[in-house]
Amino acid sequence: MPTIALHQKYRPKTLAELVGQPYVQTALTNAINRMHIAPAYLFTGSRGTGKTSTARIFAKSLNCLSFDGPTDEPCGTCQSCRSIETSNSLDVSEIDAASNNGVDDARALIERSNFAPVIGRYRVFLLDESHMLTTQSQNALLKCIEEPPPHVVFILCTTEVHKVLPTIVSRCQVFHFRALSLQTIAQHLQEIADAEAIAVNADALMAIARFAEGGLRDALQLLGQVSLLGEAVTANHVIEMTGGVTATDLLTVLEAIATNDTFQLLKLARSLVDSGKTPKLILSSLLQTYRDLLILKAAPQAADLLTSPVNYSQLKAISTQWDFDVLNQSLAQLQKAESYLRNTTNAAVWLETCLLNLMPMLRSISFSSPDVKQAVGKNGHSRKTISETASTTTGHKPTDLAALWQKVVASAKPGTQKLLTQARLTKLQGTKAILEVAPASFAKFEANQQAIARMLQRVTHNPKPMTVLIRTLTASKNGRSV
Amino acid sequence: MIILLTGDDQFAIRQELEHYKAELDSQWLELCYHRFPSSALEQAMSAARTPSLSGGKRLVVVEDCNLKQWGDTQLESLRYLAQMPDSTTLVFLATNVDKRLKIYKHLIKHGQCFELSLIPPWRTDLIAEAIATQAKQMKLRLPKDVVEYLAAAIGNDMTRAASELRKLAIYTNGQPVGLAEVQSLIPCQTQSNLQLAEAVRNGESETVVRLIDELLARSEPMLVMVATLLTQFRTWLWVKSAIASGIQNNTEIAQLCNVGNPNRLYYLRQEVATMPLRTLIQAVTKLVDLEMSIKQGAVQANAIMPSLLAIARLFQTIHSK
Repeated sequence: MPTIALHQKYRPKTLAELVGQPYVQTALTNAINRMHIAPAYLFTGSRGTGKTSTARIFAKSLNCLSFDGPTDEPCGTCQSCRSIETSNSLDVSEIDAASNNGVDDARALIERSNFAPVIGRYRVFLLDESHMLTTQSQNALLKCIEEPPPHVVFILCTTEVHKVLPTIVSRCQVFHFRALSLQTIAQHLQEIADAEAIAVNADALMAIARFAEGGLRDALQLLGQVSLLGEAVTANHVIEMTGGVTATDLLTVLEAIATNDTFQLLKLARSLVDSGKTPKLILSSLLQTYRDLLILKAAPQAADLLTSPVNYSQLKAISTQWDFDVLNQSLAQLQKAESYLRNTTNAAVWLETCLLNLMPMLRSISFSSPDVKQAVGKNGHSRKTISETASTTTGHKPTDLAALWQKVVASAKPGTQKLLTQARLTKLQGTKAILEVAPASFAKFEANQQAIARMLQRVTHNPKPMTVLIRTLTASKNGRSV
Repeated sequence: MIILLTGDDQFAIRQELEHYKAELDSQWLELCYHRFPSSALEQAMSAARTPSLSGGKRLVVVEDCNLKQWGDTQLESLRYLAQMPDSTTLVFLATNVDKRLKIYKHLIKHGQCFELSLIPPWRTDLIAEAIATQAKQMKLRLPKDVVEYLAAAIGNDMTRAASELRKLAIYTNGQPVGLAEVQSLIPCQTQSNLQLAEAVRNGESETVVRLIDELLARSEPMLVMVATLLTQFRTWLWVKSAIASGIQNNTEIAQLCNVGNPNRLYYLRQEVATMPLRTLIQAVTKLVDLEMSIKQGAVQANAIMPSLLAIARLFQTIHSK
């Protein structure tokens, strides 16, 4: 007996079997039960989310001969259902729009749509990958999709709905198939593993689910692949099979980076490359781990969104010793290296330098020092500027002060505005401000000190009353007094 | 009866045609309902002049008429308009017409012109009203927040509104429906993208992570996400800098910042009040960098998540102060 790939063997046969699309399921089931069949449907979503399967089920449901009318549970045994399964049905044409994308194909299709169905109730046209249709052919189909003969149903499937003409989209009933969550995939895989008697542990299933990125077909393919190993499948098997870097390897790399162990890091890079992992793959695994660390750091509650093979508690332990900006810089570094890798012939060397650059000893800053963190958070991303900016963050920048003073001037009465523009705000710290004025108008400012303080307080939204010091303008060595 | 239908609301035009079609004898539809392209005007006219076989009415539709390009030959074909039998309805469809044209004046002498234009996209109140009316016609009971959400999600495309409402009607099956279900069934990417911008602005890292995950699960292209964010942050930057430079007048700011509706300035002012100019500049710079890196082939959530988290963090430090 020939073997059937798992994703084909476990292709859903009724709408009820559809995995992870509750809204689509309910809507389509209701549509069939209440006989509200739209002339055209558009199924969109990323790969492996069940678009084509749903389209086939829907076609079977409409035409199943075991019932008098459309049914939400097609029998799968009548002639119509079987011929749809083997795609040689006369009434249901599954058309690969990627290869039949011309205007002539569209015209032929429109001509065929006028014939009455042969054995079923509806003539169903299933246009897979419909974003590949040319604009002209889409326009040719437009009229037909808008007002098809009553016995015709169009089902368009596409991964890229933005490539389908908006005029087509607005004439179809659009159903969005969302990528499946890790949990949904893992659960479904568990059911199939049980049914197929594949020994596989929960971690391995999670690893498969992560690799699949929301597509059930990829997940099932991989499950079929690892089941051939003939032993109990673990997460490491899955990662080896997909050519990824295992959690243990990643952890040792991270540890070597954290402890500045240059030799160990070089050795690890060598052994990883020797074991057949491409530098690009190693980098993207690291990238994924760093991303997870960043998520943990920034949003500890979102732990269910982690994607790297390293498990939660280990990541959590590492994330406590790195801080956000270090992680962010490392990520930027990795991303840069990834783009360099594409243009180099000597990838292994690039990998080594990139890994070495991740080591904290090569950065000027140490881990988890709070004032540096604040400085970076406030002020840009480049490493070099940190030491300079750290000292200035306590006060305001001159440009800020000028803008602030401008506001104060704007808020004053028109009569006093002219006077106020003569002054310059040179320092603002807490509740203290220093104003510089020309010697000529010093007396006027001195007399109105209280009023200026009040204006400043209002503009800065400072809860406490402010004190203003008035100074006469003195030229300092750089022309700007502090 | 000669009718000229103009405007860009295809849905309304189709409904109008359905209305005329309903007056025909359905048994003889093949023989008394004709559609012609505007290049076949001569045939259309001869069909219109022929009395209906069944003795009932006849409907002739001439599509995509570009009256500007019609010259003397067309005018010649139209010369028998006056002799058309009363039982015939002749409909010309045109997206827009110039009322100074000779041909328009000739048509109007014998018939009527109806203008069916779309609701302008910024009149969300009118759109919501139109959607509510349509829903009522379908006997679909929708709460107010759902109608508002739909207006934002669908916009002024009434064809799409009709099909989405039909989908909703099938889904709900007469049961009351909540906003969460509607959002899953009719996702509105633009709105989620704007929510993302809002979350970044408020420094809510967790919301940012979740929204990005959600958007990617719905296969939203990353460039679209970044573009929306960029537009939003740039608007904020412009408004903030305009206010900072002392411009007070809302209309003037709106004009400077390319904000279509000056009334939006009321909200924009509140939004930018807590955002320092410097942070906004940094955010926009980072977004541009991000866009560049995506265009250069950075893939997956790895590219977008860290950058947005870093921007969110810029705003976080402000809020915690």
